[in-house]
Amino acid sequence: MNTRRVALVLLLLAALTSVVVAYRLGLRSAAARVAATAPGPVDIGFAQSMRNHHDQAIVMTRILLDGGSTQLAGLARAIQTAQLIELGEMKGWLLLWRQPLLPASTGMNWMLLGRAPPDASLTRYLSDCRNSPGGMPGLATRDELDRLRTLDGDARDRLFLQLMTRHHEGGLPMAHFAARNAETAAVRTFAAEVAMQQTQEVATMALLLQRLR
Amino acid sequence: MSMSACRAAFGAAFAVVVLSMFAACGTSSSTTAVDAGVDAQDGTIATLAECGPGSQPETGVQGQVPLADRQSGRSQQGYRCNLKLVSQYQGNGASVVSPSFDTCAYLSTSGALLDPLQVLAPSPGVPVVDARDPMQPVQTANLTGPSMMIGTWESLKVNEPRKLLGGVAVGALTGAGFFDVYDVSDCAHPVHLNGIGGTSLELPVNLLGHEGNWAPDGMTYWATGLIGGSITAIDVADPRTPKIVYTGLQGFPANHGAEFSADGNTMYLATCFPGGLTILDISDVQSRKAAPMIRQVGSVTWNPFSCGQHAIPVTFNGKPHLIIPDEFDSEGIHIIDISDPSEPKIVKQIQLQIQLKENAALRTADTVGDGLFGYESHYCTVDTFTDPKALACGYFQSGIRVFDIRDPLRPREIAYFNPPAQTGKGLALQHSLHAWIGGLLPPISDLYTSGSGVSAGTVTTDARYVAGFVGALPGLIANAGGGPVSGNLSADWCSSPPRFVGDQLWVTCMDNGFMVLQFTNGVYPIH
Repeated sequence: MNTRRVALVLLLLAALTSVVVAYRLGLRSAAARVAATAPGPVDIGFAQSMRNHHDQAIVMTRILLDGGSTQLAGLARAIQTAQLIELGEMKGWLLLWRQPLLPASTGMNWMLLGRAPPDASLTRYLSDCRNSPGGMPGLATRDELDRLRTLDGDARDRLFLQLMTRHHEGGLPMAHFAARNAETAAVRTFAAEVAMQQTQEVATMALLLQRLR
Repeated sequence: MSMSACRAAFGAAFAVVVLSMFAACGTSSSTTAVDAGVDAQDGTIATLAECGPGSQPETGVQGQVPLADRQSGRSQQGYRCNLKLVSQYQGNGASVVSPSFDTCAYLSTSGALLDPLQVLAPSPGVPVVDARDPMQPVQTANLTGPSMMIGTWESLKVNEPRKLLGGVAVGALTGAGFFDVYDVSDCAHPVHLNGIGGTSLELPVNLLGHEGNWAPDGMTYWATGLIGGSITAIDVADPRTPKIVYTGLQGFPANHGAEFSADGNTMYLATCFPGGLTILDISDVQSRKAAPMIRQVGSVTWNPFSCGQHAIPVTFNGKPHLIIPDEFDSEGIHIIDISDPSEPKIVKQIQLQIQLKENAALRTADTVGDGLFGYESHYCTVDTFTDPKALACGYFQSGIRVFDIRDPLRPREIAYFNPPAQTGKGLALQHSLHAWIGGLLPPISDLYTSGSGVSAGTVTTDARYVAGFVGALPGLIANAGGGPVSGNLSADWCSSPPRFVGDQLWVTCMDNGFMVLQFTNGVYPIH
């Protein structure tokens, strides 16, 4: 075998090796990308539970907007639009992840699966969940929703603000937890945005409630 | 302009609008379904019926109304096997689901949404037909609550223990939803319980459909909608003042018929696109918890392009199963083992011969001028929920089919009755969704025929339907079926649940109206 032929074989081997290495690196990179979007139990639990929570906020805005007089149409539409969009996002994730759209139980055990053991405030929140109708703090009862259906004018607006404020406050710890503990960046970002938006809405509703007193 | 001419003009204009709407629907799809597969140990075809004396058997393959019969007029004589017609009340036809209770039947209407002039008819709304004398059914009343007038689609249902009839609808112009409850203790003369205006609902429970049903104890009426996947539970403890106890947009791909466990704690919810089943824990609502939530127990899907209709809970040898007809993609009927409700398992699929993949070209040629739905199953009934012996189903263009299901893995067809086509009578059948708009629209139920039983994995529609419909349209518009709103009406649409009454079946088809059918040749009762 002459020198030129040996060089050629070595060159081919080198090329082949680099192709294999590049392929394996590519696979690893693709796997890393998949891992970055693969949900953990916190992502799934948050999406399922927050869907349920959002659902009731949408119902309350529908009740307010579908009849009677209200000064809160703008606020109700803003809340409804935001929560419908967010509900759709969460539904889309669950479908892509091939996960049930609703939780199998009322328990909030996914909030025990954070990066650190539950602190005092989380332990208190989970205790509140266990003791709340519907398994989550802040949900309006069917009797309260019935009152919202039957009232009108300022009295109804006041009740709407009270119920929606309580509703948002009840969901905030879920959003804070997911913003820190979800596996996927998209869920963490989403949860942080929900927390920020609902905190603003709670502040707005506090001001409106003062004006209506 | 006469009433009928007025109807015809309105219908032609309306058809164009609805046609484009349904055409858009037909291209929607989901690609996220998990195909559960089918245990096809014996194939999907039930043993064919042996038709005894007095029968007038089908001339094509099982379930088919061949194109030649449609063109020659043979389909106007109908097809029957071990079932004969005893009597009939045709009236103005009927809509999608018309229930029967005691000695009566309630003929739902396509409603004022499709034909506003119905409100001016001498006897508007839902006709009540009394078959106390099964030889001579007569109309005894008409129901005019807002839902009855607007059209109840698949929501008109009776709760037998409490003798209540309920239905929901949504007005096109108002957008408001309505729920009407009637006391049917005297089935021939129902009493409207919740006032002249019905009960207003804030959710679009029935826009473009769709479904409703009673919890077994009759204390709750559930309405489900395709839009946003809405589910609404209405407390009917006091039927004079129904109240919403739960409502949500729980958005399963599209919610369809709801059936329940005997204790009312579990909902078996048929879903569309993908066709399938979702099992929900609804015990919070049933027990009236303060803030009720529903939970998902399990689910299964079988075809991204099909649409489960409803899921009948039965037991075979003590094992719980569901029987689920599907109204799209020639899927036919699925039998699901729910011994483990978190992992529902498909154990059998029953198709008619005409629904087989190899007969796709026949289906296209036969049905392309007869509207939205082809040879699809719709609503079924069993003779008893524990170890059922017989299953009777309404198929749109294949008529009423009855199967011996004592061994659910080896079903045998024992009888069928596909009523005479009402070709040319469209304008007289304005309560029939088929004869009024539905028959004129392009086929939507069977566009992915190559995907029968397995995930098609593509959104390519069957071009034969599209081309066939475009080719047939001039003829349809030119009054081929008796009116520009009717299509060719070359086979009836039977979509209501049959009801076993002794050795008879009572059932309503859209064009033929209410019919009393008698089993013959000893095929039923099954001993």
